[in-house]
Amino acid sequence: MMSMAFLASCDDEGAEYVDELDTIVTRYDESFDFEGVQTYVMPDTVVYVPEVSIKSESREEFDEVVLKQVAENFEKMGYTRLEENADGSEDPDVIVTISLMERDVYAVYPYPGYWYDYWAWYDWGYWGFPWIGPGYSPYYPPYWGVYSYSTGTLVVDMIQPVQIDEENHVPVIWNGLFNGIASYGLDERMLEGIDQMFEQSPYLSQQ
Amino acid sequence: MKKISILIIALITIGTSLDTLAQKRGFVSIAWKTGLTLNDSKNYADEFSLEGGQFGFERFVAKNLSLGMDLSYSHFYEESGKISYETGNTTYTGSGFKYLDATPILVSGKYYLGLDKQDAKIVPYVGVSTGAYYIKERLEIGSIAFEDDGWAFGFAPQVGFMVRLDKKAWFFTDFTYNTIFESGDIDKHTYLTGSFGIKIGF
Repeated sequence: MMSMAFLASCDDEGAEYVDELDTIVTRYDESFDFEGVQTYVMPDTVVYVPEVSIKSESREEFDEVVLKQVAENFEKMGYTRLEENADGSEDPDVIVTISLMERDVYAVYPYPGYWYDYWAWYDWGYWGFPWIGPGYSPYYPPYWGVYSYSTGTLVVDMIQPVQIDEENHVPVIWNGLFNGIASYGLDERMLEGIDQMFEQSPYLSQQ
Repeated sequence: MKKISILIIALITIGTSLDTLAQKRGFVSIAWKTGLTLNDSKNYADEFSLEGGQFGFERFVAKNLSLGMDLSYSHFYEESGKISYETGNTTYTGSGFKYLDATPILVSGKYYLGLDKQDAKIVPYVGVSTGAYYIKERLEIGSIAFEDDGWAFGFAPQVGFMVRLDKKAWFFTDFTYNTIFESGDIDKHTYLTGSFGIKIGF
């Protein structure tokens, strides 16, 4: 009788609704001093890795809303966004990229071809980093551990492309994840998730 | 020679006591267990638990004094709403679900006040138990779960009373304060349990 009651009660425990599985994760490089970071550039497109459920015709709006949400949060943190098509007179301190993933991937081991296949068309040279090109890949500090994120994850990476190691690893110094329904399109929960990434990362603040 | 004499007298005394307790050489017991986490254990699950059980066996070794074993289980659970959890350089936020399970296997001693009286209807008792606790701590945040489990040493004083139902059956209730010491990945825990059950004399 006791075990039946226990099993019955177990059914009532844990996440009951899909939105209760939404997860926001942020990580940062403990060896990096964020204090001096003032400017950033951010491509005006979300990278879809590899292909996600959002229809092509909906992506323009998706990109616009998501990038605006991220940019507003960086502005609140005291960052200045340099335009992508700037004259190159001022190099940004960091680059911020946004990607959307729907399949199982690992943060420490980026999706095969992730960098080159999907990001090579970014104009790194125009941002002041002409040495970044084919064969380069983002690099998460090993002590971050392996974090597997499955369906529907929006990833915001902050990259500091000046301390590239001999294996062409470009260091990621901050990483925000929203794991939930991101791959199905715009949703208030995802926008709140983006806000939460910054709320729980006070070390990013320049104010 | 003096020590041998004392030992013989002690054995005779115990034997006499057991003889007078011929109808209550011991108890087997089964109980429903409720619980409440205390102190830092509230961080693991801060809601009243109605999920638990206990099985016990005890045998009288002297007048009104029994030794035995208690095997029990307590399950604590809390729905925390939106929470953040920070560990090292990583912060997680999401809907929080917290679990704490304790399965102690304890040696226990109990002293019954007035059980030796033939017409005893209500018998209070005090006791203390000690032994191994199997603990499982689990925290779920959104789609991520953190879990630690392992064995730890602990002890548990208790106070309670029992009410005679018939010649051999008693209803009992007791309250036990469990203290579990930190061990490996398992943090120190304290929780209070209230048991309601039946003791059968043999």
